[in-house]
Amino acid sequence: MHPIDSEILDLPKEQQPAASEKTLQNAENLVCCQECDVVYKRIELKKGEKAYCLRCGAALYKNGRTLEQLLPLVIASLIIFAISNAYPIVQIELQGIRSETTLFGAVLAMFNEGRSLVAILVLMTTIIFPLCELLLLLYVLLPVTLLHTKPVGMAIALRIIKVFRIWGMIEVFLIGVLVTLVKLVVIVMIIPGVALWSFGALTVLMVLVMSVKVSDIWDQVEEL
Amino acid sequence: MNILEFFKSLLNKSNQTKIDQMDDAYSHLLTAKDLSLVVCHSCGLLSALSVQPQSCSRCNSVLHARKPSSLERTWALMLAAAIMYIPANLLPMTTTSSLMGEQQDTIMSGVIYFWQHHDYLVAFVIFTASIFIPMLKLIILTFLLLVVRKQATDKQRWRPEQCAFLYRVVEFVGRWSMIDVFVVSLLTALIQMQALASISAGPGAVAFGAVVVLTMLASLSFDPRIIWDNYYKASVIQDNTTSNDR
Repeated sequence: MHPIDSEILDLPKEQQPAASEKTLQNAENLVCCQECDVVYKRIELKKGEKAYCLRCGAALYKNGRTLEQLLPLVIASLIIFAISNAYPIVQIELQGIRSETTLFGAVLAMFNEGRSLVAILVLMTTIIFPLCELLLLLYVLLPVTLLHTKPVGMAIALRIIKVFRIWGMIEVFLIGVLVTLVKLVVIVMIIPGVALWSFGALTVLMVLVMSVKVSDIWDQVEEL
Repeated sequence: MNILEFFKSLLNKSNQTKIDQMDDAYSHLLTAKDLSLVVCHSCGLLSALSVQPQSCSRCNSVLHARKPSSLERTWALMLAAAIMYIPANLLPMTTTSSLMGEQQDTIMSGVIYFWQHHDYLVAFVIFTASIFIPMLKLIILTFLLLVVRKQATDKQRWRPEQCAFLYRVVEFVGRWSMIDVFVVSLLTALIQMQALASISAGPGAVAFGAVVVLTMLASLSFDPRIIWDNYYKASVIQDNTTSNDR
């Protein structure tokens, strides 16, 4: 990725308030920094380039993965997600007694303990939010890339994706699993399950999916 | 802005001419507010700002020039998180019952256990994710709230780039404190071996989950644009007073 200095909106300071009507006519050519509010003129980026805010350094927009490239990643993530939830993460053995758990098993264990608030938190952050995000992405991407039409309720779907992204924590869960294993490795025998490896793969895929921001999706959908 | 630049700029803080040069370099940048525009927080489209409540023409989200009552909400959520931080650290996260009897573990006792067993990496990971990061978030958020408040009337020496960097740190590290919640639920699910050993989640886990959620909500409700608004507002006030003195 090469940072590119965005072209500054060249308007004399005196004209500012009056300028809003004029500048809005080509609002699509403007981009605003979400973190410090500076407005820039959009310039054409080469493949893989990324534009940053001059003042605060936040990422503005990029010419990264297209939606056609995002779709297979989303489908792969959904498959890996199903595998990760269907198989046990880890099996342990202590003096002949075996015990294993899936992700949902961990949620159920918390419910049975009477810690339902924690159970709901784990359920939401590791299953509901990531799954809904992937399904909604699929719902938006399939018609957009294959049929070149916007699906019904696309605006709401993209808004939900934006919120769920913040609260999906697959990658944090993976580190949680690893810490648990290190904690247990001295006491019990550990047999890694299928889901342990698939969670690793899912984390990588989710990072790739998340690299396309919701505003990037909006920009590409606009071009239809 | 990377970490190196951040520390470099900290060292240069006393250099007044350089600060003025930086302010001049940014003075030609126009914000959406200057242009009476408003940016959509969800899809990033710019619209003309109007007096009535309005929604984005592209994604239909409600538009706000700044996050509504951002500072008040951040204060409230941050204080709630600070209060929950106490039981999260004092109450037991897990209760282990085994043949040797029952044992209750707080976060810190877990860290000490691993340190004594020379498992320094695990001790470090748990300490960082569960004790240091929540504390860091609370300290940074309080610092930002105070700086923004001071800066509204009086130009402080805190550079807005540094504040923006600190805010980005809070946003980035926030989710990683969830590690301990996941560890506790996995342990509870795995260690259920009848008489041999069983682990159950303690009340500390609930308080800790609340800390993570509350600090995340607090950092989400803080609007980093206020840092810049207030910094330049204070510059204008100060410029006016100095010119009046002459």
